[in-house]
Amino acid sequence: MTAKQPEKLYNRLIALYPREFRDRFGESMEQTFADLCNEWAKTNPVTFGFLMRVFFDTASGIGREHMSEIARKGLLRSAVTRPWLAAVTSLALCLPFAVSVLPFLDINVLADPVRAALTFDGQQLNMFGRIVVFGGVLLLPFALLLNLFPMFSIAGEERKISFSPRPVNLVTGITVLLPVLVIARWMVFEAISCSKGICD
Amino acid sequence: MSTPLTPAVFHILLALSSGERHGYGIMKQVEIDSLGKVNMGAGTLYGSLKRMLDAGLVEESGKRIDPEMDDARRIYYRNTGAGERALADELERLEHLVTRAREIKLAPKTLAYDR
Repeated sequence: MTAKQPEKLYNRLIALYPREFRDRFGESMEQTFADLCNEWAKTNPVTFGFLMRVFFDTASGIGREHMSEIARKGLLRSAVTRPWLAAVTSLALCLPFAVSVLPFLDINVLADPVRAALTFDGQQLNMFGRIVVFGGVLLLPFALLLNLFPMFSIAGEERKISFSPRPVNLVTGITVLLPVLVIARWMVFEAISCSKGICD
Repeated sequence: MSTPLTPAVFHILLALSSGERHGYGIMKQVEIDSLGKVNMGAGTLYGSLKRMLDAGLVEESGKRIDPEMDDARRIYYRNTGAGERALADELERLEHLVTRAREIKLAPKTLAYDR
């Protein structure tokens, strides 16, 4: 590992702080980390353990600052201004329920496209396979938001939301959107209808 | 008397009571003050500094070069009057606790975890 690699990694980690905090302390934190590495390297090699300790402390700080920002702004405003946060929270809340149900699901009650996705070479997927497939499906909306997010920015004192389309994000966004729409259509027209006993 | 300070805030105020310091300078001074027992990371340091700046316990005292380090300009911090008072209150609180422990002849050997 070269001397500059930890600093590059650390700068990427600092980018995960809330913007306000990053603008105020990001440069100082990078400087402090460089000072720490330089001083440490005078007497010891910069080891993985040393970096893990520093990175863990900063990662905890990132969590604390985001929680503090949510507490200050309120949950709803945080979700509106930072959709990725809402997506991650939703995913974290949904995933355990979905994963705990899926292994025991009888796939014969599912619609054809979903049943096909859970069948490989004529055989039903095992528990692990189902978790991987449904985990992937649950990640799709998150991937969509992640794609759309860089195209929106909030600027100025009035915090107006501006939209600047990027071709790469648009193409990948649409690619992700299609399976999301297929799944949403299936849920609305087949799964929910069937659960009410109005399908054939 | 004010509410007890968190360990990080207490250590930062103590480090800055002997002079203005930049971020890395505070980390080093905390290590010296605690005889090497406390190694404050940058995440803890700047998170605490943000709250202390907002609470008016510390303030920025300018951006300048540290002659003992490289030629990069660093932001220096210093205690405010409120910070000095908070530190004095905390020291008084800790002193009271130590005095009380001595009154009841509480020595390290009688602590539960030493039995």
